[in-house]
Amino acid sequence: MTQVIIYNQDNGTPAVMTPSPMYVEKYGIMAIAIKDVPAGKPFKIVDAADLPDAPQEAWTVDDADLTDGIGGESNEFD
Amino acid sequence: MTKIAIQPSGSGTGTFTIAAPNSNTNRTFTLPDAGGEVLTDQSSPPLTQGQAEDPASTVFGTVSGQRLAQHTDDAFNVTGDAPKYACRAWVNFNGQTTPPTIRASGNVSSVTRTSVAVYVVNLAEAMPDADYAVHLAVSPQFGLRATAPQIHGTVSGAQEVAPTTTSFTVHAMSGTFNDVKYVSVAIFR
Repeated sequence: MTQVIIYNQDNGTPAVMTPSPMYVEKYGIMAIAIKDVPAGKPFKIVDAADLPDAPQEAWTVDDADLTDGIGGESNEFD
Repeated sequence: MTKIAIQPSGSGTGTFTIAAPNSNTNRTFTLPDAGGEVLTDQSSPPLTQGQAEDPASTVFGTVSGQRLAQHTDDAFNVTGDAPKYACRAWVNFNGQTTPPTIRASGNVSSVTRTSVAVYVVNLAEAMPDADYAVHLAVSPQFGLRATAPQIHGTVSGAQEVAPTTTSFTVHAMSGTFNDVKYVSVAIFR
C-alpha cells in the first residue's frame, strides 16, 4: 500500500508529499517526513487509497489530526 | 656484497613471521631494485592494460588517473575537451495523480504538491549550495499547450520561492491551472 505524508502549509491549505520508494526502502517514510516536512509542521502518514476523491484544493485538514510527527529542523537524513 | 637488514618497528607489538610452504624445492625471491611497499593479495595491484581496457573485467586494482578519465568519457559517450558536469538529481513524475506519482528518480527523497501544478522537490543529499541549474520540462494536457514551466515560483502572483540546498519549487502547468501528466526535472552543478 502506497503511503503519503500530509501537512498543512502556512496558508492553511494541505500539502501532499510523495516519498521516493528508493528512500522509503533505505530510511523509512518516517525519516523522510521528518526531513522533508517544513520544520515545526505536524504531519500525518496515510495510505494513498484513503485520500479524499475531491481535489486537493478542496481538502481541509485539522492540525489536531496530524499526529504522526513534526517536521524536523534538519533537511538532511541523520 | 649487498646487505639484507630486517628492521622491526620500535612501537608495534605484533610478531611478523616469514613462513615457508610445505615444499621440497628451493626457491629464491629476488627483491626489486626499488623502494616502496610490497604488495600482497590484500593489496590493489596495478591493472594490466588489457584489464583496464576490458569493460567486462571484474578485476579490481589500481588504475591511472588518465585511464580513469578515459573510461569516464567512454561511459558517458563524450568526446572533445569540454568539461563534463554531472546531473546531481532528477525526477520524472505524474502531476495529475493525487498524490503525485514518482515514476523514477535519483537523489530525490520526495515530491510535494502544494497547490495546482506547484511541486516542491526535496533532495535526498544536499547540494553544496543553492546555485544549481534546474531543467524543467512538462507535457501538454487536455489539448492545451504546456505553459512555460517555471522554477522557484508558485502559481498565484508568480511568487518567488528561493531554492535551498535541499529543495526547490517548480511550477509545471498546462493551459490555465492544469496539472500535467509528465513532469521531468533535473539539476546540474
